[in-house]
Amino acid sequence: MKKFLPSLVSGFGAGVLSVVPIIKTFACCLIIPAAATLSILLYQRAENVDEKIETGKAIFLGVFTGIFAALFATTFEVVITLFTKQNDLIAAFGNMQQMINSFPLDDQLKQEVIDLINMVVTELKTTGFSVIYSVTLLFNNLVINSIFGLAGGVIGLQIINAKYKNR
Amino acid sequence: MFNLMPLFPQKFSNFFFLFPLLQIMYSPVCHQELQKLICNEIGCTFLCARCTGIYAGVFIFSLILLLKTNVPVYKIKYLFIAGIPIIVDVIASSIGIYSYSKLTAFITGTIFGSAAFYYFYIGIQNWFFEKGRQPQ
Repeated sequence: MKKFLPSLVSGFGAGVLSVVPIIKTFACCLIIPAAATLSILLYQRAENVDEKIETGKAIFLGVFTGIFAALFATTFEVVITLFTKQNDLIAAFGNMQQMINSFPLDDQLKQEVIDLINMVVTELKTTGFSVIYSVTLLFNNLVINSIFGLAGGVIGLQIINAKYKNR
Repeated sequence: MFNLMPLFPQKFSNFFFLFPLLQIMYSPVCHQELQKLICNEIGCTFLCARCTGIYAGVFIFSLILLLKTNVPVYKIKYLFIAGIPIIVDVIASSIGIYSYSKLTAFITGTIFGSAAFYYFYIGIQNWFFEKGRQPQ
């Protein structure tokens, strides 16, 4: 468990920031890579390491930071939606319908797609929970955050290791 | 490629059911403000001009690195230098020194995306080097 602790701590922080309005816009591009870099720093402190860290370790920490951030962000988002019965999908539904209708494609196909989203939106508005939405969100967050966590770990490591260049 | 789908919906009609899902999937990656998307007469990209630039930079640089095997290692400070045009552009367009331009956003994004991918590539290269050095 100890080896997951730096990722868990920074992943939790990133997960919290990922549900804060406005800040969440920067979630994947800035917050997750920054959290991955932070997890390497935390690992350095926790293990008392004062030398270059290996890339494999940074990748491990980065990917797990992304995974923990995804789990926390999804949990927070689902719980908030459960109580408020409001979220980004409901807010964007109008625009989404317009976007779908504007495409020069078969009407039946467009209607089927709109019906599917409408079903999810109705579920969210009435009960505050939708299995399709929650699974999609979790899958989405896991994939995106893991990739950005990995990238953040690899690039962040080079920033951290830069000070050991001459040793 | 997915990002460009809405510009050519007829060519991707078999994947049309994915459009709303992709729209949601891309939302954590980008603010997706309507006036900052790259549009043609049919549709708009899922990502804004700057994010499209970043991913285009990553894609272009990955192709370059596929062809070029011997890559020199530059100091990490160049990543921050590559980020300066984005910061300057965001600040300048936000405070009204000049109005927001999709082309500028795209170009500054491409510069940063290329640099970010370069350092990612160097990191992965280091990883393979470290793995090769480890005793079997």
